[in-house]
Amino acid sequence: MSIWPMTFGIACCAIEMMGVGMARFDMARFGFEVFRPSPRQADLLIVAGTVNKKIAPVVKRLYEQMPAPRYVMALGNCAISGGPFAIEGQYNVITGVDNIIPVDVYVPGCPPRPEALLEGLFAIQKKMTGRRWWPEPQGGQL
Amino acid sequence: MIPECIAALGATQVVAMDHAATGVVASVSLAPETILDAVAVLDKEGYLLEDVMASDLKEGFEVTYHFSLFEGKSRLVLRLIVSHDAPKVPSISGIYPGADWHERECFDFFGIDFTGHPNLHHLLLAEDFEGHPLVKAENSRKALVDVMPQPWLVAVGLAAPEAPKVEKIPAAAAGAKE
Amino acid sequence: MHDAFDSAIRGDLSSARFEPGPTEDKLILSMGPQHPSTHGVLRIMLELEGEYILRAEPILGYIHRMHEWMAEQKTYLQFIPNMGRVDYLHAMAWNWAYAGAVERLAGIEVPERAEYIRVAVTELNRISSHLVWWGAYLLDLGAFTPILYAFDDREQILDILQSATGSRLTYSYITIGGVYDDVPDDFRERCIEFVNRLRSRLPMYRDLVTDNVILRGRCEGIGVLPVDMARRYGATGPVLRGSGVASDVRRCEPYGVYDRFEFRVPTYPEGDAMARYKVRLDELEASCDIVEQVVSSLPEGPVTAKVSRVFKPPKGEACMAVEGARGKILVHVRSDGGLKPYRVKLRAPGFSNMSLFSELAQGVLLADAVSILGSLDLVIPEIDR
Repeated sequence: MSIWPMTFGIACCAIEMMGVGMARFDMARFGFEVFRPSPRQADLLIVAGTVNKKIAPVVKRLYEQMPAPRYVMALGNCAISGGPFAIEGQYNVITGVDNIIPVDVYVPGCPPRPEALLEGLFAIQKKMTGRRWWPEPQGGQL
Repeated sequence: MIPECIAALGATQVVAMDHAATGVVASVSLAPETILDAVAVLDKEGYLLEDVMASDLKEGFEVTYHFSLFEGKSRLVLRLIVSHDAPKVPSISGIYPGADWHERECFDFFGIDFTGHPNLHHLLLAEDFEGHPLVKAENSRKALVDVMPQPWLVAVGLAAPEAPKVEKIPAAAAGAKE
Repeated sequence: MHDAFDSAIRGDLSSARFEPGPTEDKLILSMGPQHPSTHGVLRIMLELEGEYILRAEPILGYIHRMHEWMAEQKTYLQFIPNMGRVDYLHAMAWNWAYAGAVERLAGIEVPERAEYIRVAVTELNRISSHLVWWGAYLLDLGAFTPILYAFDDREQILDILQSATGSRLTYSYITIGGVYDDVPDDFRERCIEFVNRLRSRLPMYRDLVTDNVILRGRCEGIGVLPVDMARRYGATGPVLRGSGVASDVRRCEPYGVYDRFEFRVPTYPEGDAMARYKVRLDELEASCDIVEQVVSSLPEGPVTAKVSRVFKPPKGEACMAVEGARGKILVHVRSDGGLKPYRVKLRAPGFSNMSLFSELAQGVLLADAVSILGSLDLVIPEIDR
């Protein structure tokens, strides 16, 4: 099934997200061809980067503008928990985007490898449909 | 090699620095009131504004400006100190428009008031952010003598030059003289 | 208490200061922070009369990640990974600027092999950064295909750098005293193979893209930047070289072993977006030349100087300028003799390059403003730090 992600790259993880859209890793072959800039037309919000206090209302508004059913992937350590910026006494970073919007899949890494992002996308598909649609990679345990 | 235009800057102290060790060729200390004239001189000489930064010391907020020419190792640092209670510095954004954002950033992090700035409000921090993050707590502030390199401190008179080492006369020779 | 309609009129906290001007038939447009063409989370408040921009004011801070504050909380070595995240597209240059400033402060001498490796990986990183810029710029202008080719070339570089450093994007490879670890044995062959491959692709890019009549129509004569304006805003790098000034930190204030290599510093006098575009494409070739010379003459030896685990540089201050893909990166480090820096200031080239956008965009069409923004090659986390 094809899911339409929204182009919302905040920081470094956005470059890996772009890399996954390109020819080598190619998420189009798994159904994620159509990236939509507008939240009204998107199914999946990939939060790629650090969420800080200034952009938090924007992320929340984008999530609220997406029509249901909608999914959220927290890409990278910053979106999961604040990442390398969540040190004691910090003043500007939200320690994890799940503080403001519900997250379906967490993909750790700083930045995660494109293959990890693909696995995260497969986990979204599994959450939607109940099963994994693609062969499991050889030589590793999931 | 200190450029000639430095003489026209109205500096209180000029110290030649070692570029290989510090990255600047000269450090120029100024009084805050004279910064506009000094910067106008540098503008005529064709200097490029690299940045305006501030640092929190015991003596006050030290605001430093870095300028360099297009060619060669020519970085100058202009430095001035304003007190913590009344941190007012004339804004150079009328001469170097690039300083507009640099000064707003100093305002963000330290609360320094740049008088004459057209647009002094938060640049990087949220509009409703309270406080100035890089201002240090009173007990962790250091003074100039704690953070400046020794040659600079000697040149401006904040540290005594090292006493020359005296050769000790060997005891046998001293005994022979007697 | 305000409802949704009210907030649509007054905007939000950050845009409330943007007062509309006196023109009758105007539109206030908030471009960003979520926008496909702003290359990150940049917000620009625009006052438009039809399609012409009357006033443009960028609003920053959406990715402010407190790097300078974190520098005072971490030790010197612990801060190095932050430098990879400041400008993730040219992370090696930021690593080098910080490590170089600390080395100057502490008087650490870097071994020769490490200096050569630093040049090689930084130039490879520069090529990958320019390729991302090129692809993304053309994507903004509406061309979908070049980014696929650019990322294809870039993946080759990422494979080489991953085998050397372990990371694909945010490197912490250049450390205080040298580089973290030696390069693998096949580094030289892979670099030369990559350089030859890229050189064979560049004529295709020139014929299909650079000489393309649509690109030329969208870039020539757009965003002309006079030299004096660039100087007073502090613009550096390809933005300055596109206005005719042959100023490159690798030539003017050579650092490392750059003075041992022959390379061009491309400069174009027109000052428009096309000139900046051509500067960066020529820099791809120049970097290829440097990489080829470096890996062919890599000396033997250690790759890192001995730096104590408990590293305390003497008190003082030092700064280091490095030519990044976007311009002159300057890192100032001030030490009080303790374990943690007293103050670290990161001077990002994008900060100064971006500050001239509001003056450059006055009176231009909105589509041309997008072209100007792309030609400045901005990476917003570097600007916000």
